[in-house]
Amino acid sequence: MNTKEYIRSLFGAYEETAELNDFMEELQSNMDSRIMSLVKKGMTGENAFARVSAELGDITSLADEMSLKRRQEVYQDIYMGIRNYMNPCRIAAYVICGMILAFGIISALVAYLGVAGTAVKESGISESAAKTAAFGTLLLFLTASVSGFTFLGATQETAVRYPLGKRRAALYTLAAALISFGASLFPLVYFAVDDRGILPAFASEIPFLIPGGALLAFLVLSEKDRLKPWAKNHYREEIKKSMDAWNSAENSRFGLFSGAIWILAAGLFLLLGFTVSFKYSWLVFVFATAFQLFVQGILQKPHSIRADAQEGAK
Amino acid sequence: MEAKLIPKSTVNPAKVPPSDLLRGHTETIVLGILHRGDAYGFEIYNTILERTGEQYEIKETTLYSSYKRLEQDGCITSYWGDETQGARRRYYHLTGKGRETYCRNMEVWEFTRKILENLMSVESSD
Repeated sequence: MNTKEYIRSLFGAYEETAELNDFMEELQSNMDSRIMSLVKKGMTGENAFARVSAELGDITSLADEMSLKRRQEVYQDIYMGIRNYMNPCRIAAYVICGMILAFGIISALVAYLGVAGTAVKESGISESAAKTAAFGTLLLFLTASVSGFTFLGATQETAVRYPLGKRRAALYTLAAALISFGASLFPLVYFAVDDRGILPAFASEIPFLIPGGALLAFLVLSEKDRLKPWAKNHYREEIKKSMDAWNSAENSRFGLFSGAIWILAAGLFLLLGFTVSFKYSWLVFVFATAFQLFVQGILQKPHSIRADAQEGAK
Repeated sequence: MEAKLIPKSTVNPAKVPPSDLLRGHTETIVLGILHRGDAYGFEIYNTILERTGEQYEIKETTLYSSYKRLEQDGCITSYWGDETQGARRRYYHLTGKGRETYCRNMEVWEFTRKILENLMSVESSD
């Protein structure tokens, strides 16, 4: 077992954070240096490793501290965590995809303005020719950049999720390419065909959109859970918390109250409708809604205070 | 200097559990080592081993905890070295505040040491 694997096994149960990753890297370089120094003194590699891992001591307090800190930073990490999984190649690829898209948009605008400019001079060229030129230019750039972004996004590891395999990512990319190609074909054909453009436009996009959509649907439905263990636990806790809140006595009482309110409102609506006028009786529902919100406000207030008190007691 | 705390004649240092007394000074020890220049974890650890003649083995995790605390207190800063081969090393650097803390801790230590010496030698002579 090398030091890298050893350290990974030590921290396997802990949630990954930027701090922990840095610490693991630091630990590894220090352990390696120490092992090398012991081997130079004549110790065997195995003995040196055993000695160094004994010298390390108990990591739990350190890891617990980092993991505790992490819980507070969970939300921040969900959005910021991607930083730790970026390397120069990936960053370059993202930038290139962005450039392709920007280049496509600019070229499309240039094409549009160019053709529209000649359209003024030569009355034979219509406005839709300019739009056709614009969408035609955009088509390939858009498809290329969307495909690129899809592939990069699918193979991107984040703090919360493991990346997709290359083959599956490629299938997603194919679906995205088909869909974006079909979607940009629609306006292109629509403007290219002068009269009744909408039918040919639909006809031309369907061979791409439907297989692309079907592929995407298949992929999404057959998708496995790629959440990392800590994220899974976190979501489970969140769901449990919201379920508890939902099943609380306050909520069932609120359900009864609102049921009563709406039955009353419906009764009043009919009564006032027949006796006065349906023109005004619908106003009952406005009051009912307001009253329901009012009841909800009253019921939730003590609940949250009680919940705070419970948390405080813990 | 910490090794002096253990009387050589009577106690086998290897059998003495790492005392709280020693561990309580880990931060000052680290600051003292960084006083000579920036160092990474292994160098700091090695210096401690050398200075104590490998008699006192501080646990590495104790050191890591103290780096963390010192960094949070602003006594040291850390940066990654630009090693071309192998894993990157994280170097620690003493700040002005760290220097002050070190000097203050040394003064306190000198004071405490004198007091303790006086107190304990009186006790043992009785």
